Amino acid sequence: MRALAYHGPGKVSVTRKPDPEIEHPHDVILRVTRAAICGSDLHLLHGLVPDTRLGCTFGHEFTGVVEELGREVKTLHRGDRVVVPFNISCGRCFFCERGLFGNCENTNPSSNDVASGVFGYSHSTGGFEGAQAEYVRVPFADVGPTRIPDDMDDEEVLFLGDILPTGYQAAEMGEIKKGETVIVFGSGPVGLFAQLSAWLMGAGRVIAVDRVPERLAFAREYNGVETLNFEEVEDPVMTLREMTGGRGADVCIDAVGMEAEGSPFQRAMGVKAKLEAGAATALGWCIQSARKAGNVSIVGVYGPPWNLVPIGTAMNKGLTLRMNQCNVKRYVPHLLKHIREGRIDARRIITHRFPLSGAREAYHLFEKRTDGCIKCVLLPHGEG
Amino acid sequence: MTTANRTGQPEHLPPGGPGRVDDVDQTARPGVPMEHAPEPFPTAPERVVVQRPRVEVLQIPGRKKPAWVVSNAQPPRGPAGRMRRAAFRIPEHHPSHWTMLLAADRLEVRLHSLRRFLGVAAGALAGWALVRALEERRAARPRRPCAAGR
Repeated sequence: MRALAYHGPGKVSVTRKPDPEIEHPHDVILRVTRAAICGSDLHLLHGLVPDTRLGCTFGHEFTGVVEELGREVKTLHRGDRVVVPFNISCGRCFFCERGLFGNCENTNPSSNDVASGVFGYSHSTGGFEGAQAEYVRVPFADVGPTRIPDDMDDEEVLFLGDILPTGYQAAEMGEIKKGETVIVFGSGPVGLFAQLSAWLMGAGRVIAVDRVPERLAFAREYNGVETLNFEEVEDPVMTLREMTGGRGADVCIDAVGMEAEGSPFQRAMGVKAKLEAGAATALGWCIQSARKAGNVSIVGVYGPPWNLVPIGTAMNKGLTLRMNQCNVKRYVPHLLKHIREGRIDARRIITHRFPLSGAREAYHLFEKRTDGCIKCVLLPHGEG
Repeated sequence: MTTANRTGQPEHLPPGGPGRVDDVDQTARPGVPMEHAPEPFPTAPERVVVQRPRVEVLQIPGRKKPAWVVSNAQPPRGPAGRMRRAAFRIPEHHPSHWTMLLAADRLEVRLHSLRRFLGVAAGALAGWALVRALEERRAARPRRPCAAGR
């Protein structure tokens, strides 16, 4: 089959690889119909995630058609169209039984601290091959995948695999109450869905912070939020405090993660010298822009082992910090209902579609955020 | 930049439409509480066999039991693989575990580039040697007398 392969920081190409096989009785093999490029794939592309081995295939947000089934799979059939969470979860462990699918302890041999197994996200999350390929192996097929309703197409539900539930969980972890002010750092795909989810949870004001004018314009148009381009102001935290009556926001959401812009010091330490796990600028701003006793919600990805974060400020302000990898499976039915009833038009954020052979170009476009790019989707088997 | 505050200025409300505040009730949000009382996932397998890896799968120290599923892709190989094995002898709460893995990543890339360079260089050298050999052979061959005519 053809699949994307990683060749070192900044380098990917489409190559030939052996077709995936059933390796466990609870596996299925999917023919991939849509595979999105996620912002967190860029951390892999830039070599910031430890144990990203040459030749691995990225891609953890995808839909597909069931082609082969392991002998113990009970709920799926050949030909079923499914959307798959990025977490690989057993459904039976201590954590899965408590709804913490992103913390499953039976699918990632490489780490107890990082996360569950994840598709296409380095050997730090198990080394499972990703879905930016023609076919992909999906373990625990009776737990993760959700059958796509016949009257819905793949692109309507594609983002149920990651960014939509992640954005929703970000807002949910903020414990937003009616009328509260929410600042969302990052206006990429996850940030957009966090903004939308904040409205759904009754926020009174939502402020989006980013530096890409096209993304902020899209946020204004798509979500009707206020926006702040942090490159246009001298001190973003001071500006945000002014915007929130000097007190700060009730809830701040970090939808940026380890490659944040805005602090040359953090970039030098984290992205260039790798003396910390990426640049924690957005997280610092979250802590500094939240009001005392406010909530900070983190869904931006940070790597091990540490980051320079103003934790003393968080303590002194009495902030509640909440974070986790998204427990995707818990959100799928609820968000599917929102999509079906027209409250969320997830497909609208797709700005670019590429065949699999155009994956390298798609990565570069997404990385540079040119041509108004919000979200790139690969079609490994064309439109069919 | 669009600014406003909560007193007096126009409210920045979302585009209209019913259901925009559907999830105000925190108890109706699907992830509240994040950790719920234990209950088996309805379609979770009742009995699971542990997958036997076909290749070497590095496992973090301190795991009490093997993972139920693993990946057979990109097993550790060569000098970078040796470095990864060494990293996996160190528990992950020690930064050296992660720095060694990052170093192994960089080493793998450098060695891959070096191999490619050496491959190209060896190919070029072999091509050059072949051309030289052909030229020498041609030069060593006795010349036929030119055809008469001048």
